[in-house]
Amino acid sequence: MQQGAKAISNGKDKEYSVSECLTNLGIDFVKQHRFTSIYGNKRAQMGFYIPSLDIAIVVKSQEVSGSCDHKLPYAMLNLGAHPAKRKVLVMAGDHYTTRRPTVYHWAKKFAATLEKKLDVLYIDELEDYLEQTEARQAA
Amino acid sequence: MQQGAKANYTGKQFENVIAQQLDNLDIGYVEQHPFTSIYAHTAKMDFYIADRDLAIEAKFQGVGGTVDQKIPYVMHDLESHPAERGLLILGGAHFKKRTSIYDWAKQFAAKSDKQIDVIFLEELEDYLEQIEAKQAA
Repeated sequence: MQQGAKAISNGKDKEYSVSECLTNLGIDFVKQHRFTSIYGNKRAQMGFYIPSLDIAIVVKSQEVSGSCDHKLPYAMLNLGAHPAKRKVLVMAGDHYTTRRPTVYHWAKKFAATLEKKLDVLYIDELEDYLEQTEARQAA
Repeated sequence: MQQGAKANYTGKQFENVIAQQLDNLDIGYVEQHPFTSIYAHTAKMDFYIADRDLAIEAKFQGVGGTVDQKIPYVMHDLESHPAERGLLILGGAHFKKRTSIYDWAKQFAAKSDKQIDVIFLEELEDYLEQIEAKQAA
């Protein structure tokens, strides 16, 4: 499988994992939620949107070296442009967790500079994050 | 040819066109100039012109593809390169058609603390001549 096709396949796997996590938690969500991108494209699509929690989620996955991480600032700026109250970047794959954690550190720092609150998580932190957000909302 | 491989191919061709223009203007440059990226690893800037202290990134997108999603990263990397000036050169039908991407990059550059310019390939010769004239003045 070519590098690009493999990356898309890995990305789809991780999106499936997020779908599964949301379904297991009984959270309704919309996939490929339409919004206007930073480039003014009104047909842009956000990975996930959870209406009950008003959360937009983008999943970025990278297993080996490549240039997927070059798309991270774009993904984060687009999260910033989404009208949801909360925005979450979910990172998955060895590239982000083991090989180059500096990308995750950069994303955390960059998120702190944005006008709107944006959380950066590893995929294994997502379930706890959603449970906590749900609990806070219910309180 | 797969989409990614095709994008690399056209990107490399685009860099060759820029290198040719620099050669024609008799401007010395370093290709694939190493620097520390925003992710704190050793990355390579497409071109560095030492006597103008100018770092150049080139991005080409024909029709489809996702190269345009790398523009924010490139702008941040131009900011983190130690050169005094940064330059993003855009090429290909996609950037000409979707001018909002060019506009976004220009806005980013305007807000940056660093002198960063965004041009289309056809503007390169004039741009370099202007910089040279300013430097000579």
